Amino acid sequence: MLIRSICLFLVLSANLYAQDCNFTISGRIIDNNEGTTLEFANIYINELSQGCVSDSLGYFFLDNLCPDNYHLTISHVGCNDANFYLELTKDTFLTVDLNHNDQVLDDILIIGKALSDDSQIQHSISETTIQDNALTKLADLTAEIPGVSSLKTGYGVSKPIIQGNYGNRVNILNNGVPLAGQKWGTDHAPEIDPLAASSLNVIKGASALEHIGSNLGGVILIEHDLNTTDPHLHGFAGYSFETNGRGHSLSAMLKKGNEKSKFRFTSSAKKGGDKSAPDYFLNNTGFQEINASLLYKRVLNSRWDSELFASSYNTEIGILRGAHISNTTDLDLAFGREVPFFTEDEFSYEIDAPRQLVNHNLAKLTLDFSDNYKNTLKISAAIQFNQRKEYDIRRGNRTSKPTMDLDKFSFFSEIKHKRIITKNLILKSGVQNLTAKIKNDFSTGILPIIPNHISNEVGLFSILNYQYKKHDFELGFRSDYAFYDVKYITREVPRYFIDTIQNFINVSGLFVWNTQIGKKSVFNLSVGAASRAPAINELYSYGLHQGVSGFEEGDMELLPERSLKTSATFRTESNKFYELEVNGYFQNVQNFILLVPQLDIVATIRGIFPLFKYEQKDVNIFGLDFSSRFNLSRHFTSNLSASLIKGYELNVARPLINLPSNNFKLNLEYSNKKEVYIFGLKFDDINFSVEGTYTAKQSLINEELDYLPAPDAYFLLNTDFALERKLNKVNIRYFGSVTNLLNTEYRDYLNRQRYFADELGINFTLGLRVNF
Amino acid sequence: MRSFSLLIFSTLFLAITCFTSCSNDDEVIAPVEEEVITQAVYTLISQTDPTNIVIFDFLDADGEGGLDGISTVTGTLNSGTVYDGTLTFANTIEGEDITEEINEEKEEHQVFFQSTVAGMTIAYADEDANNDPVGLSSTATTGDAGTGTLTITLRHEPTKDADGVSSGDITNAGGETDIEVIFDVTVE
Repeated sequence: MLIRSICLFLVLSANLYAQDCNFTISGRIIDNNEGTTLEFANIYINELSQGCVSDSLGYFFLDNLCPDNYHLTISHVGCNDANFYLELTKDTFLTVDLNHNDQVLDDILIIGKALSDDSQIQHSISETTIQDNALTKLADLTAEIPGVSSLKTGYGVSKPIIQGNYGNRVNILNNGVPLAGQKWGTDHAPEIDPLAASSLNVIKGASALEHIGSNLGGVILIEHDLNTTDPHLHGFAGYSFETNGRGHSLSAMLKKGNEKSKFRFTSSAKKGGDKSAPDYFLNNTGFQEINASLLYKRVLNSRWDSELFASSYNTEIGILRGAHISNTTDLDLAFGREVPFFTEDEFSYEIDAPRQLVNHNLAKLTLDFSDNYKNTLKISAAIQFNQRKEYDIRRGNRTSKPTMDLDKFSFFSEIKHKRIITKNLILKSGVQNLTAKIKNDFSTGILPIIPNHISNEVGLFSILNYQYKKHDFELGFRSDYAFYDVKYITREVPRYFIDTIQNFINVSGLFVWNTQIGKKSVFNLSVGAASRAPAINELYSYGLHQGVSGFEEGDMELLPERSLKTSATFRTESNKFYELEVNGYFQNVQNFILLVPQLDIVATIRGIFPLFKYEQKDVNIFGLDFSSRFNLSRHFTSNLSASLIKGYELNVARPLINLPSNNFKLNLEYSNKKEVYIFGLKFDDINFSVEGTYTAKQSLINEELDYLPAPDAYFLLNTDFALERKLNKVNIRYFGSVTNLLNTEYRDYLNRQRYFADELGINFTLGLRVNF
Repeated sequence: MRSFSLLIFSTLFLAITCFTSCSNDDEVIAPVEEEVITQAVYTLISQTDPTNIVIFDFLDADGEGGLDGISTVTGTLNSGTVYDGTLTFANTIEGEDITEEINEEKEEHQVFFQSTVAGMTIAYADEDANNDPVGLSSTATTGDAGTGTLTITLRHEPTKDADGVSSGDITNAGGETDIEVIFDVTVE
């Protein structure tokens, strides 16, 4: 028996005359992933501020509608909202596929087979989460995903670590373009503004062969989606304020489109001052940032599409003054301090030396060809220009002169072909090239830490995907050739340039087996072998690195890293009561390159120097990522996640440094998508959550491996909320959070500035966003 | 035919992009290392016998990194003697005297002398515009015969008004160490 929930509308008085207001919109809501119908979905007409709810079979019905143009929003617990634009001229029936966002853990969307033809599992951070955390850096956002952490240098600089791999091993792609930034060290953060992205996706698996650059340590994809066909201008404008550092963020997005062409424009501006630890200000930790991006798509003809993408990222970051040291005596003195040197009682927005000025600009053109869906071809070309200036405390009025002034220009090109050979056999192949030229401004008066050079990488790949019943197999191959032409400066006096050429060939392979167990669960096994050529900074670094307070020395004799990683994932699809995902991995890397603190004495005129050298070790890294979600009642859910990781050097049986500590997270969340009245105001979507995180001590790291033993374990309590009001044509979201609610004093092993100062104290964030 | 032209186009595109390596032959001039200090020389001249000169010399010819620095002591320190001390710094790579630069910024610099030789003391003989000591000029007084070490430290941006700093105690000084050299000392 079909019971229809009929929603009657009060006809707006403005539309009373001259029109027949007797049209209907009806339809059915279907869960895209499982093919089941969805009851209790909300169907909402934005223009009329009215809506209805789908019945037990997913049907809905709206009547007495005037002919007009309407924007519909369809929402359901656990699904991403769907937005429609409709020109109502007759009775209309809609079948709405809602994308179930398979939430394991708050806001972490797991994209399975349904959305991507990549067999490896991706984890994703949604646009809403990115926007609600507008003042959070890329690496700290992705650190929400179990198995991903962030390696920090102070408070404004962080780099992602994926299952123990960081730095040059992690590949970051901005709208498909490998980020050709200046990742010379841990104090060089990826030059990305997350606010421009529509989602951040992470592939933790064995090796992602489709991309040029490192593919042995995981991939972060900065996605910029644009699938609007709405001819009206839509978007959002948002503002956030945080108390710690008195940071402000303004961001906006505009999009518009039709069947022929569409665009998406984003822009953001951020500014913050000195952050504070529970007991003192962290002087000179302010930052400012201004960014913009534009994505434009145009259909050229029935076979060809084009896309233009441009983005600009500009920032200035202050480095904690008290972390600026020059020898181990200074370091020892800094260790013993309750409060770092140069701590002041006054808050300030001022950014003095040591500081960094970074600009990154990207432009990309893509042509897409598709021939009756059997063949698709994608041709892309992109240029990137990166400028980095670092300022230090210097003698003789030189503080205003950079100690490092490096430009990087790069060109990327790619051709990808996908062929659907039979219904269950797909072949993807492609060829890529990435050329970069790096040039120092030698008027700094300091020996450059990175030499002038040109690098050229060419790679090709082929991936075969075969589906057999409930099984899905992927077999891939990739080969890369890297060429470096380096002009380095001799380390002996008198100094002169030496021109040297190095070549590397890397080969990678991947096998993935994906299978469905029962109706709801998935098992994924991936085995990947990959090799990576040593990067320029690992080979040639030579000089004082300000942010990490040490002298860094590369090794020209380094060999390519060779990795073999096996990763197995078991995931239950969400059901009424729970969902969970367990991922175990084991990675063996030969010639693993890492920066090792040299604890034996090096005598210089500055006394004993903190010296770090790039060395190679054979290592094993293994771990387990676990995440789960329990639906306690209709409105309450709880998430529990854990990341366990261990790594050691073979032969010497020493623990591997710079690995994340084991950590655990438990949260309790209340959400209500129905109308609720608070202080007489109607809200349509309410979320509130409390979260506790526990980070264990890296107890194996002792003074023989580092200048200081690893800091103690710590527990943090965080909370956040979001309220949404749906008004006529706009949707207002109020959001906020409190991090480190207990104002706990702690230091984190993965923060290089743990030698000098505590981590951040309590922070309140409040924000407002208007979606239109 | 269409796919053929596509192939041609793709190949051309690749050929252009793969081999447009820019040349690396730009004229480059080796950077001038302005800020490096490679040599510190502490000269002591006896107030009573101007021929009694002792020179403590630390030289790290290739700057930081690379080869270790070498410290040498010439001359004999006599017991119970008062010496006038002068400290000079140089960048031997660029052939530049750094002492003058430090003298111009003396409010931002201070030298600390730490001696482990019993009875040997070193007092400041100069001051900056705030009447705080600098240490480019000093007075060294020896006590009885003995051996030990002398550590000379030059700090940039120390907190000169912190407790004990103006009397030569380095403990609360902070700042960055520009120089830290250690010499073996024998008083005869």
